[in-house]
Amino acid sequence: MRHYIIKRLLSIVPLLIGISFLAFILINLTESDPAEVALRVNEITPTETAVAEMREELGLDKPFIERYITWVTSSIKGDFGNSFINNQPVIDEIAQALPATLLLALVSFVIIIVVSVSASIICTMYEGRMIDRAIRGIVFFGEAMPGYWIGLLLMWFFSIKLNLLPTSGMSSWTSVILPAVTLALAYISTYVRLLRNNMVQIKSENFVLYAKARGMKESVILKRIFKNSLQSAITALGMSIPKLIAGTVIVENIFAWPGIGRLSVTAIFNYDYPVIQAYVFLMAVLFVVCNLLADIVTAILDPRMRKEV
Amino acid sequence: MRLLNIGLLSILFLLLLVSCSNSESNATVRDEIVYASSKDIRNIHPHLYSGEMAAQNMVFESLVINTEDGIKPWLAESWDISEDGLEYTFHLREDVIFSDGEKFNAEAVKQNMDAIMDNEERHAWLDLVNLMEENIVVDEYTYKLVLKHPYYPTLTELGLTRPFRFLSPNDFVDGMTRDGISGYSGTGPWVLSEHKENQEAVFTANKDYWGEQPKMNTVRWKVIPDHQTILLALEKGEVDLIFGSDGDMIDLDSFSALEEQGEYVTAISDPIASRAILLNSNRPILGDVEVREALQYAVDKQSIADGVLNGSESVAPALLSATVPYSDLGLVERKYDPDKASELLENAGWKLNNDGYRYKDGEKLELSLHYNSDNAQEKTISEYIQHDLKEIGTELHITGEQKQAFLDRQKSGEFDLQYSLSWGTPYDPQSYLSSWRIPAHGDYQAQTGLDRKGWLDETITDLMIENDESNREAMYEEILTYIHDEAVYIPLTYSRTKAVYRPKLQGVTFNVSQYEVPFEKMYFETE
Amino acid sequence: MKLLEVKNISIYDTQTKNGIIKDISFALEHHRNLGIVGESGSGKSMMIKGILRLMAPGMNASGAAYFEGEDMLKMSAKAIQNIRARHISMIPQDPMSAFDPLDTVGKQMMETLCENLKISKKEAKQISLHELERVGIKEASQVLRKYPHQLSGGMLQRCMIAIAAASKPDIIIADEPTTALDAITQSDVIATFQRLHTQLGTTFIFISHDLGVIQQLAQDVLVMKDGKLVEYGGTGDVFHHSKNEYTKYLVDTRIKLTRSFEKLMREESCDA
Repeated sequence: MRHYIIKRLLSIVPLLIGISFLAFILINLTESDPAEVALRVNEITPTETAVAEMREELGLDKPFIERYITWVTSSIKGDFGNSFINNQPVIDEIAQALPATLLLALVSFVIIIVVSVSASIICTMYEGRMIDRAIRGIVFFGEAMPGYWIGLLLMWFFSIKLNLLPTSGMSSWTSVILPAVTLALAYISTYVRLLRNNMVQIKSENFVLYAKARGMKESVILKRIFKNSLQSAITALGMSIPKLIAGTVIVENIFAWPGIGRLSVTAIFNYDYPVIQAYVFLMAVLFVVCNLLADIVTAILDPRMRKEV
Repeated sequence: MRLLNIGLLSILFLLLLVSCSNSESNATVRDEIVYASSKDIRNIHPHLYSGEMAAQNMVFESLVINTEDGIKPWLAESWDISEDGLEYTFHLREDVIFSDGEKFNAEAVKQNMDAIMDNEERHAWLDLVNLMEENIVVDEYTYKLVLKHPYYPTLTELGLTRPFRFLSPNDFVDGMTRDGISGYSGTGPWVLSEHKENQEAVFTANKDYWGEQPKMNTVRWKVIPDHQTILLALEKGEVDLIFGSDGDMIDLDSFSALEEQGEYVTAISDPIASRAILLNSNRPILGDVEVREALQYAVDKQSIADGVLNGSESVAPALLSATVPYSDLGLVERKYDPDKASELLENAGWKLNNDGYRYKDGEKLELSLHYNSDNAQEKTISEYIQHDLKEIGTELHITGEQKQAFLDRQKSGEFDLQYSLSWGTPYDPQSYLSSWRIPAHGDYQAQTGLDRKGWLDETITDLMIENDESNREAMYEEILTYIHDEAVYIPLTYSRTKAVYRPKLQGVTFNVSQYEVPFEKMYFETE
Repeated sequence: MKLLEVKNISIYDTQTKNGIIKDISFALEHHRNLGIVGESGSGKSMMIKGILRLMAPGMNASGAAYFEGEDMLKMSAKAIQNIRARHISMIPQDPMSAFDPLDTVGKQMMETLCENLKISKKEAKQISLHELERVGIKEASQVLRKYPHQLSGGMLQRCMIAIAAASKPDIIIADEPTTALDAITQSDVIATFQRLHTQLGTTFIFISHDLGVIQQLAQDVLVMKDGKLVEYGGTGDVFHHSKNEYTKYLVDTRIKLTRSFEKLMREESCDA
């Protein structure tokens, strides 16, 4: 087991290096001169001298490799430079916005798990019957509907028509409900189908037949089916965490939720390179780490895997 | 089955909890205005440009203000201008204090002005800073500004939302402000009391304000990035007011819809800025003034005003509205006349071919128009123009671009047609024309192909320092007529600021500048 | 009274609208083991699953299957579950996949016993160890701690037999009990079945396509082809004196196989 973990940990190092490189060269891919952009964002007319000064300030006159190494070494220490927009340290901006997104992602995650698990179990129990089809149908629509539209629809219905919840912002503890539900909807359908299909498949496996033949209770059998179906689901569920954290962009914009999704959009529209680079890099790292954790957890849970390693 | 029941029960319980926590939102006495903006106020440092102007305007004030009726006294009660136009002596009010208790006097003014001068490069876009020679404290309440040479827009520029506004010297850092400030103590009717970045900012009424007390106690500036959400929040009553110019806050269709609905009050200001299409005289095809003129007659501006802007803006007969200073010149409007446009093109040697387009010496009459892809309005207008131009045999390629790329293009001059929005009052006409001299601006690039561009720039420079009013008038007339004759701009419409608010909110008006929101004049009807 | 009486059982697939089992009737007499033979795909397992109500959703069974006077096809879910727990134990095909891979064999075995016999975990453990030993497993306590993938097919098969025997059912149905095993283990398992038959007095139903196994273990035999009953009677009669073409063909094929093997062995021993 330990061997496996160490092996995997080592394997992500070249991956992280590659990601850092890609995140860094983003700044060089667009046609606009970053120095000019930095000036323009603050509505400073980009005259020749101003641009030259800014280039020096940003260190753009140094060779590529030097700039890359500087960026990587300071990034590891947590220094991603300053935002072009307000000249505050990028890491501060991100640290300030991150808790809001984490809260949103966490609540969404809980909703996803609760709804997916219960829905998929119901579908499996009543496989082929009305309720199975009904749930799958609803869930299918949920996936097809764009988050932007659903969010506004929910807002209109629950906030305005029923006057139950605030429309936006982070004003009270109820504010997180609509954005979390909107965010969760997109993933629920995937997981309901994944879990249900897994479970239905497993239902037809030999050990289920045998368990029934032995006279085991329905609920016990269901538990075993569920545990077996978790394996492939865990990886998917594990990956949903970074997807949630990185994918809050639309929801945060609609619901005026002050998280990193909003921060990244503002940065992108304003070509705020330091923020964009840091965001891309951090999100990529998050994905890689979560992937690794999901793999490790799967290995721990499966005794067959354990034996191999 | 039991699990299902537990699940249902808990949902019901949650719903109850939520609806209970919501019933405390019915206050009958409103002393707060909730304003929604898609942007955060950010850093409202009065001498810099990193914050929302409307917010800066609430906290910091200037010596004089720009109104419809011209310059009016504000922190300065009166002033004298020397014969040669080089010295401006201001007599300050004696009853003003900063919100931190510090007295507002000539010394404070000098410190502020010195701090602004210290950061000259940052203010290069505004000529006044470059022309400031010295700030002198004559006595406790008399301040004198000495210029390097006369500059007629001095008072106008002093009244702008930024940078000439006053911060308590206690908030300066090392005697200056260019590197930051330690607080936001101003003299204005509001004080920034709370700022949750990217969420909301709360302004409370300044109890020690020298002027008329705002009727409301607080203004809550809520940040809501999505336009649809702002509308829903307005509908729900979470937001009282939205204000915006140039499709900033709400799109025009929603605005019209809200107007019709009648549940809200919509208000529209006087013409603020000029919306025009810039024609690049430096390009091969457009270098011919006849072609440019033809395009002037080719565009159906009324359709655009009606169809795209929902009749909320009026067609512009000339680049600058007659209400803008020095611009009431009676220039001959080029009305929509596709026949005349075709005629002009024929004369210029562009003959109509079988494919419906015009050719000259084997070259096709094709042009390109770039617009900011974030702006849906610009896209629609571009499509209208594309259609109009096709009618007269011109192919127009329209391309949407990212904002930065769009701006790059303005700077490099690699465009045929571009959008141009003037700065708006009170920046028009002097700041707008002033910017025509700067190579980084699209206007400059587009004018480079003109024979008399050199003369144009020189005249603008001279005009700024011309002391004699009638001379100045003549110079403006010359410049604006030249630009009009050279058909460098296709004027479309004059933009206006729009406001949408709940009926109970009274006193909603517009300032001369589209960037300011006069919260201090607003109040809620008492029940 | 017959132990199990099946009357006109038919099974039909609702999706493809095909009939899988067509109108089969047979009866199980006390202490007379029944063998059900036929080629792969003849529907042997399906029929048994149908009787025990273990079919996949989408399959419909008609007819009747009487056990102790009650029709199993019409019973409530709880009732049939009870039958499966205490009266008719089934051992499915393919022992390697018969257990939940995520749990130890011991846990699964004890869980079954606790549930079916309503006893405590401790008692279940005792009984499990006893039954495992009875089927010839030497280190029973070790085996209990192992995961299914850690045991051989033969081991798992014996565990299943042990579980089946533990609840002392009236009928044990073994589906292809020897198919996945090597010859040596096969003969072990066959011996185990014979022992159980004598010791417990349980009646067996063996499903197999291996005529040799059936001949050793069953007194009656039912021949199936394409879901239909081809022949039904005493093992000796059916195998040796069949009037049916198909049965004769099955028997002949098997004999040919055995003969060629014997011939091979004789040649070898001659050379040696």
